[in-house]
Amino acid sequence: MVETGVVAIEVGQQSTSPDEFIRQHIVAAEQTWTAHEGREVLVQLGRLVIAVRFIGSDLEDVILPVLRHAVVTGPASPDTVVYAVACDETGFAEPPDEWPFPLDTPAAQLRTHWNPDDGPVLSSDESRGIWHLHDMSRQVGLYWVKTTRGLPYWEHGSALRHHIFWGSLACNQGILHSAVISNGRHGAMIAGPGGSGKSTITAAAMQSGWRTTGDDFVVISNPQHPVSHRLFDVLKLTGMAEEMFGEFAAQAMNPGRAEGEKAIIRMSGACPDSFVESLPVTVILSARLSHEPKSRIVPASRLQLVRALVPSTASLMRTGLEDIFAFSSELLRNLPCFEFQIGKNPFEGLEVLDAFLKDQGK
Amino acid sequence: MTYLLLDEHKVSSEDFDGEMVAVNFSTGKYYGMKGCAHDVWRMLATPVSADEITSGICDIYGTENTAVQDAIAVFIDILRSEDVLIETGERPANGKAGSSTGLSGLAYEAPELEIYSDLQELIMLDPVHEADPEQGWPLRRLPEDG
Repeated sequence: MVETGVVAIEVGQQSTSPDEFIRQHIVAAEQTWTAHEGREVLVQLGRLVIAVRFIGSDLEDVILPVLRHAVVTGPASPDTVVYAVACDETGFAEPPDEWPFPLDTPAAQLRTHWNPDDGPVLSSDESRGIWHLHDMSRQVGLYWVKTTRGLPYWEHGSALRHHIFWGSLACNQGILHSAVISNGRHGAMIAGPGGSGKSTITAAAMQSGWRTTGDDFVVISNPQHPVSHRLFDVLKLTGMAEEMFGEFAAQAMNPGRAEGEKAIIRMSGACPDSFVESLPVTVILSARLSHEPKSRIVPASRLQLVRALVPSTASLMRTGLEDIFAFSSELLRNLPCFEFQIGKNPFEGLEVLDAFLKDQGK
Repeated sequence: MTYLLLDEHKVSSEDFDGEMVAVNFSTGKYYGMKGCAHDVWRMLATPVSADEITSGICDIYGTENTAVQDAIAVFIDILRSEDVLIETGERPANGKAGSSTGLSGLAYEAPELEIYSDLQELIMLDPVHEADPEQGWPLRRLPEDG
């Protein structure tokens, strides 16, 4: 039994009820934050307003740098509240080191719990001491971190992504693993798993004066007439892209990164005019690095775009596969679908895309 | 008589103007469909027997039963192996067999199910969780000795 100072919670005990576990710890966080008069920051991401309530301050440096563009300074009513706590700083009960529930379910294999009809959902990485708990019936969650020391680089680039996803489900917007770029008149959504060229083409777009709402995750509202909204102020480059866009990489927030770790770059710092609040989306393309001299854009089936969009989104969000599929399908019904075979030179690819978009707009 | 029905708790599908795409939530696999597979899939939205499926396909495409029956049986076996079907000995009172209007003007082609396991593969490559190089991910707790 570990005292939080407010509510005694049994931690580390074998629990048979994920629902109860989730609700208990969210309540504990609520009470702790209230008792210690923690700081609250409101952010707006598309239609969703989230109140991030910090217990302690260590997680501010993890969460806020890539969400500062979205901070709401005036009065606003939050749709979702997320409590953020790093336990080593605050003495809040630590998350379990091992999955504390029965292991014999597919969800347990994924380290998730998904009960949105009643409310409680979670996604965990107990090997790194990072747990995301949420009660969708109340739209209150807990970003529960053992320590901020040694957090993987992707947490700094996309903290709270699960809570943002869960909150977005309640306001008819989606979080999708894709990039969105615009030549000023038409917006292209570029979908594909890691390594498909989304970040490379986005970096080329930014250098060329195009606009973007993101290279990795974007918010999409109104799938019938889709609009993308910026989410995380971060561009991630690695390998050849890091070399090609060296001036971006030189501004990385993680200069001491390990080999193989992506360079995390603030878009608003690298190209302030590029990173815009929202863009209309008029076409969706599945991206593929062809390594050919010339880039091509060819028609694609809905199945191709489902393959480009749904698996990578679902593997990163880890829950709500049915909702991701439904939302993506609605989007694909309303957008023309193409495959973007990106050649060796992303700037040449951008020229091809520009001509294509102008032709589409006729 | 055995009636077959898609298990909507496990699988969801979208019809994009004749292009059918489905997702199996329990396995993370998703499916594309070729030939008359999308017609069979539509018929399985309500309890239907294999014979009724065969008859329905023959009506849509004007083909002989013998050409279709074996292909339908193979397709149904694949769906069974993907664990997306419910089998029941009863059809609800006043229930009607599922139907499909087919895509006009197309010749009959045997149903084919394209199976994609990209999501499963991505999860196994998942960098978010630490994977044991020998056991893969997720790690299982070992049974206690004795």
